Order: sequence, then structure tokens, then C-alpha cells
Amino acid sequence: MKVFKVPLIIRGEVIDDFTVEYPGRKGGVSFVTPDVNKYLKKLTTTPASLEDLYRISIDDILDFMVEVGARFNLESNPYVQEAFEISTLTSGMTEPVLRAVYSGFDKICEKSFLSEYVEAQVGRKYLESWVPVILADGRTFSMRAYGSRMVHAIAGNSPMCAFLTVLRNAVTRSDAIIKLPSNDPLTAVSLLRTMIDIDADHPITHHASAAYWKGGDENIEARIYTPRNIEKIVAWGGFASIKHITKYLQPGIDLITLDPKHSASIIGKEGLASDATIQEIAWRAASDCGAFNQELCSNSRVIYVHCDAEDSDEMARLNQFGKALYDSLQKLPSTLSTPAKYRIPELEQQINALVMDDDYYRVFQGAERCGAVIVSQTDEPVEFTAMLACRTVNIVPIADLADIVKRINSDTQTIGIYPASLKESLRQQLGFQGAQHLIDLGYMVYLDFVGPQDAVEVERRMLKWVKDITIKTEIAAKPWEGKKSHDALLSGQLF
Amino acid sequence: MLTESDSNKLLEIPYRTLWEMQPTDIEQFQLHLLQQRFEKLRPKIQALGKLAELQGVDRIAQLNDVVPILFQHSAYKSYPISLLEKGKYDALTKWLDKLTSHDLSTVDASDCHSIDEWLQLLDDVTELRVVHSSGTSGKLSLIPRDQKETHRFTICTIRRVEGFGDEPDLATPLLKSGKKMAVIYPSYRYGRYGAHRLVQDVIECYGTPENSYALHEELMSADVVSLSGRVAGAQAKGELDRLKISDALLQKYKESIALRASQSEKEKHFLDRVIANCQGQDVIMLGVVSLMLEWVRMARERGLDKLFGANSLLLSGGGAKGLKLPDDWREQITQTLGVEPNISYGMSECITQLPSCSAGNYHSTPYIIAFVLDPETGAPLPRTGTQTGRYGFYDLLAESYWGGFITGDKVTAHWDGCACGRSGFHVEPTIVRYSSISDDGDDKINCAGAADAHERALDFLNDLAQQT
Repeated sequence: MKVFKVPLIIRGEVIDDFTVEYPGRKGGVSFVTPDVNKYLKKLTTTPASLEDLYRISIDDILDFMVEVGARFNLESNPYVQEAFEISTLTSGMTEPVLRAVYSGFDKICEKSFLSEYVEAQVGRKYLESWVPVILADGRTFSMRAYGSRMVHAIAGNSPMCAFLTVLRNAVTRSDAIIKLPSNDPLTAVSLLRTMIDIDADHPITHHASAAYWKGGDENIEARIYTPRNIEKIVAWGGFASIKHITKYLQPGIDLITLDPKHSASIIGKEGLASDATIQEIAWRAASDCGAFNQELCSNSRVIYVHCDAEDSDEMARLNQFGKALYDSLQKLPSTLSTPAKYRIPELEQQINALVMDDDYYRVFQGAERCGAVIVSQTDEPVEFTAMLACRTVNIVPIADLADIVKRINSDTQTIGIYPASLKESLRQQLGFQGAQHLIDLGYMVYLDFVGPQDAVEVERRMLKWVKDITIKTEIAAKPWEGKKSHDALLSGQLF
Repeated sequence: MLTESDSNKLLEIPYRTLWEMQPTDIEQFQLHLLQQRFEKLRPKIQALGKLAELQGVDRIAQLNDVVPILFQHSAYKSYPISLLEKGKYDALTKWLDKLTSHDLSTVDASDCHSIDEWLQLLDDVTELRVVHSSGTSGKLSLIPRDQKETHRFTICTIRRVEGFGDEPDLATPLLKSGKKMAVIYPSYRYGRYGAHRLVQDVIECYGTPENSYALHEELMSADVVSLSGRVAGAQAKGELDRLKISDALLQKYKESIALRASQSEKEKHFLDRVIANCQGQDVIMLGVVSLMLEWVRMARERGLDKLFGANSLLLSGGGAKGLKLPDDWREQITQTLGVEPNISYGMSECITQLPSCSAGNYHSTPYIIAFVLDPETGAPLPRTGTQTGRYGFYDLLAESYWGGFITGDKVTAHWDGCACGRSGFHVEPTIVRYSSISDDGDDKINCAGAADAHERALDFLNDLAQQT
């Protein structure tokens, strides 16, 4: 078994005093890392230290990220290669899929895209200047966004989580302590080391740290998670891990949670109209379910189809869709999806119990690790929807569209919808019901990270929004001179 | 060498004899009987027929051949929950019919309005005595055990205290003499959990209704058991809006919480009643170890010692699995209640339970064909030496339903003899559920998943019960 080294990165410094071993993680991987306890003082910083980030422009920051992207290359960068190697062991994604993910960062880091990203997420002007709004009463209210000192407890199911965190930290001019996940301990480290190689003294390099400690280690967490050291925490995933962090919350610490989520698809009657549409929705649903081997929260797991379970013709077509979906999943390009890397015996057992009785569930499956499509023959999903993984999908017929909408809630992150007209007619209800990302069925991979995540504008919430009110003192009534003139100011009569 | 294939006659053979059998004799007996069961049940049990066809199993030439057709533990709840929610008891009967050799085609359940009514109907018009378990999502596992099998469960429970070697044999005198003893069960007297079926049968065969003591004289409603799970399930899925609970069901729920109110007061009174009627007598007490320890505490407060007679049977169903007990729990119970408690490893799906021995291990009998399976692939591990894996079994005492199961338990088992002197298969007490262990390390974070809402379910129900 190979023992990986996970250095501690603190503001441009690589610490390799490997004294703690975490043996036998998933995939038989163990790793050694420095004892974070010894470096806690160094790891945290003061608000004043953020000053250097304001000596450079957003353009400087984006240029730096473009260079990071260009150097973050699986072919030539040994740090990326090591992160990739450990991920092939710990990640649920298979090697071809991971290779595609690790090879895509330079594309994201093109200047034009990064500029669009900054504009869409925050608006560059708020990051670079005081943006004035002249009010009707003559006051000028200006606003500017400032970075924060933060901890990011990131997820490890996709290398994207680490990448996005580093990018968000850079453009918001924040200071990040990235708490590494055991299922992806090196992607963030490899990004930070690439930055150090480019310019160890760059302010962006200087405000990014990455550390692994065992989640829940109170010795470490109680000392970091205080308002003296950080202003915000971004916590991804895991019910238990978020629940755990809540005990450190207090005035002065803002928690941004990116909760555990499931995703679904909604297909209107049109999808079952003909053999051609059935094949069309099969391809599209296969992409949404199978992409990245269904390791993401945005992967569909349950597909609601507007279809009457009591109508045998409609059900025959629904079962035809089930078969076509299973076949399409097998034919996805290997850079997008492959047979699963691991087996889930509990899930297989649940499915095997359904196979014995096809009155209520029709199961399409093939060889080991190829996934399965379970078509419910009533309007009821399987009991184990929370376990659906490794390209296992449940198709559920529902006779009434309104009933489909009621099954969507704040645990449902992404919904791929077919046809487009149905998306338009349902989106208002889906919005207040709790859905967060709506997209045309089949294009889930286009979700990207432009726009809100889980109905939260993460970058805007990472920022501190400072306001400045300017008064025209030469004409404004002076509050200390009496109530009357103050009233006049408020009603705008003086101007 | 055993040649008998009638289960009732088999159970007349003392366990002491079985525990001295040679492994080769055991295997020969098991294979012979397994082949008979498969031949007989395959044409009668549709679900088995389907599974055997899917897996391509036509005959059993060796014990391992049955592994591909062991039922998954979720097989007995493979019906949609809407059958319960919408009261489709005819459809539920039809579903159950596929799992038993008894013919249910003439059962008319169209008048049933609750699970309790449906279970009562089956009790009344068929030989089935269905055992249910609690389901986390409200779906109850429904095991179609019949009357004869229910009684076999009783015999097996009592045979657990037969002892071995120099140990006292508390079972044989009871089974042989027709002696009637006081029966104590500190829970609901009636119900359809395995334990309730057992208590009923024990009272019928070895006790009298007048000399039996239950904490609640009422029926434990299967509807209420299912309801709590359904609410939790709906909450977990964020579908509480869609959950419809009838007034009748809510009323049943209210009655059940009313019964549970002032529980500790009731437990004290219950103990008083038992002391008044049973002190110094031989009794049969059924209950979990933690509860026996609670009795120890209360009895000590009253200054009592050796509460029951020396030939009493203290039978704990679930053993000590998952509980944190004081190191000397066995001594405490023996001292204060008067006899050593017997714990076992078993499950609703299996008629035979594995009693714990003096070395702390759980012992099988030849009536269980045990399998230790590779947790990843499900393939059987060698039937020799020490093996760790998923526990599966074929229960040869089941004759009206398919006795093959794969459990969710991780066991370490030995095929060689035990320090206590018994031969054959036994399991170490380190049993855990696979669902409670993970090899991912403690802080692997995936964003896919959803909040567990079980703890909030009861709050919701209680609010609802108070509002109406």
C-alpha cells in the first residue's frame, strides 16, 4: 500500500514535517501529514494582513489565475499527477472520467471566462471600487465588497470542489484555510503548490492555506473556529460534518452551508410520444444520471415521468424508456461515464429483492457494476432512493403534474426537465417548492459554476458588503440642531 | 446420523445430542433436508421460483448451491408502501401469497381498513401467524410464518437453556413435564412482533393466562409501528405535505402515546405485581438485558435478592448487541433475579436462535445451514476455520416459506469446536451491522445525500396528535 504525503500549506510555505499518519482510508490509501496542532498560530491571520490583496487589481488576480490554470496540467505538473493518482484510488469516479476532469482546468481559466465569471457572480465594480447610488434625498450611498478570513470545509467527491474554492477565494480577495477531505486530500494542495512555484510572494498565494486534520478534532477546530480568527465558514456536504460545525457558531461567525443534496428529472408526456422521443429522453437522462459516474449531487437519481401507472399502454412505453435508458447509460463516452469503480453490496441487495416480483418494479440491469434502471410500476419511488449511486436510477410514473411538483423540496438541487416548455410552466412552483437549479434535461454538465449554488450566491456571501453614506453637509440639516430639520432631511424637502 | 425430516420430530432431539455431532454428519443431514425443502417449495412459492429461474439454480448438489437463491433481507418488504397507505389489503394479500406455500387465494381482505385488521383476518382464516418487524420507512417486513413454525420458535427458545456438559438443563424438564409456569413479559401482551407471537405461544403451552404478566394488556398496533416510520420517511424526503393520516389512525397513535405516558410509574407497579404473585416461584421471563438490569436496580431498591426460583428461564431475545452494559451485568442479574440470563443471536426471519455459551460465543444447531459470505461479492467463504463476513443462513425448520436469508450482519465465525465443548459453527459476540460501518474514514465528504430526519418524526406526530 502506498503512503501518500499530504503537506501542510500555509500562505506560500510548504510544511513537510510528516508526523501524523491516517492509515487505511478508502481505496486502501493511507497518508501522512504534519500535525496541524503545531502550526495553528501560523495558520490563522489578522484582518490587517489582507491589505496586500488591495494593492493588486482584479485583472492582476485573474491573470494570476490564468497562469495557474495553464500550469495546472496533468501532462506536465507533478503535483497534479500526484493528486490524480490518489484520486484514482479514493474517488468514486473512474480513471477516464477523472482524467477528463483534471484536464479541463486550463479551459476554465481562460481570461474571457474568468472575467465573465466575476461579472456574473459579483460584478467587478464592487470588487474594485465604491459603487455609488444617489438617493432621492440627496444622500449618496456607496457600496464595496471586501474579502473575509474563512475556513472552507470542502467535499472530495469531485476535484472541482477544491478548484472552485481556490478560485472563489482569489476573486473575492479572501483568506482561505481549506480543510481537506480524506477522499481528495491533494487537489487543493496541488493548486496551492502550483501557485507557490509561479510566485511564492504573490498576495493570492499568501492568502491560501490547506490542511488536513481529522474532521471533528476539537483541539484544532475550537481554536480555529472563533471570531478572532475567521469571519466565515463555507461547509460542503455531509449532514454529520455540518451538524458538527454548528457547535462553533456564535455572533461573528457566518456559516455558509452547501448542504447534502439529491437531484431529479421531470419528463412530460411528450417524452413518451414516440420511439424517437423515447430514445431522445433516454440519451438525455443517461447523461444527467451517468455523468461523472453519478458522484455529484447534481446527478439525477429519480426520474419523474408524467405517466399514468394505471394505463397499460403508457406503462409499456415507460418500461421501454427504462430499457432504453439502461442501454444508453452503457454507451456514454468514457470521458463522461464508465462502469462503476466499486460495488455497493447493500444497494445490490435492495435491487435483488425487487427482482423477484415484477408486479411493482421492473428492473433493467446487466453485468456487475453497470448500474441498473428500476422502473416503478406504481407512483412510488423505491424505498432506498438515498442509496442510488453507481449509475442506478429509479423511474417513477406520476399521473398528475401537480403531484410531481409536490415531491420536490429543498433537498432537491438540480432538476433536468423535458421538454423546454414544461420547464417554463413549472419553474415558478419548483422555485418556491425548494428546487435550486433548473436545466434542460440532458445538459446537467453545463451547470458549471456560474450563477448561484444551492440557491445561495456563494461569492456574494463570502464577501463583506461595506456601505458608506455621504451627506452634502453644506445643505443638509444638522441632526444636532433639532428634530424639525432632521425630519426635513428624511422627507427629502431640503433638496 | 440424523435421518428425520419432520421438523416437529427433529425438535424432540436434545440440543446436547446435536452439539456432539460430527461436521460431516451434519453436512450430510443438512444437504439431504435442503434438497427436500427446495424440491417441495420451489413450485409452491412464486418468488422462489422466479429467483431460482433468474439465477439459473435447478438443483442443489452441495450446500453452497443455495447461496444464489438466499432471499435478501428486504425481500419480505418488497411491496410498495402505498398498499398500506391506501389500504389495498387485497393487493397485499396477493403479494404475500407469492412468499408462502399456503394458499391465500381465497382470502378476502377487501373489508380490512388497517394493518391490524388484516393481520387479524390472516390469524382467523389461515394457518399463518405473520410476524412483522419495524421498518425504518414505515414498511413492515412481513414474514409468513405459520402456526406450526411459530410453535417451533417457542421450542427453540426454550431449548436454548438446555445447557451442555455439566451445565444445568432447564429446558428438558419443562418440555417433558407439561408443567405450567408464570410468564412475564414487560411490554405489550398482544401484537405481531416475533416476541409477541412467542409470548402467546409460551402462555398457551407452558403457562396460563391468569398467571401471566405483561406491562400493557393491550395490542401493540402494527399500524402505529408503521406510522412512525412513515412520518420519518416522509420527513426525510421532505414530503410531509403529501402524507395523509386518517383520523382513525391518529386515534390509534394517541392511544399508544397515552399508554406510554408515565411509563416508569407503570414499570414500578408492574414489578410490584410480579413480586406479589411470583416471588420465589419458577417463572419464564422474556425481555432484553437492559430491561432485566432495570429490574435489578428496582429490586435492589426494595432490598430484594434471588427474586425468582432456581429453575426459572430468563430469556433475552436480542442479546447485548449494540448496548453498553456494565462488565458484571450477568452476575448482577443472576444474583438479584435468581438465575443466569440466557442471551442469543437471532432474528425474526430465523426460527432457531443461537444461544450464547459460557465462552461468550453464539452456537448454531444443524437446523441452520450457516454461511459466511464475502461482503463485496456475496460468494460463500470456505466452511472451515475462522471466517469474517456477512452472515447468511438457511433455516431448515421453515417448511411453509423459503428459509434462506442474507442478513445485514458482519460476523466472525468459527467452524471448529468452541472452548465450551460444543462442536460446530459458532459466532463471536462481535456482531455489527454492515450499515453501521464504513471503510471511508470518518470525514469523507460527499455532497450527495440528504438529512436524516428520523429524530424529528415523533415531534411531528406528537404535535399533530395534540392539535386534533
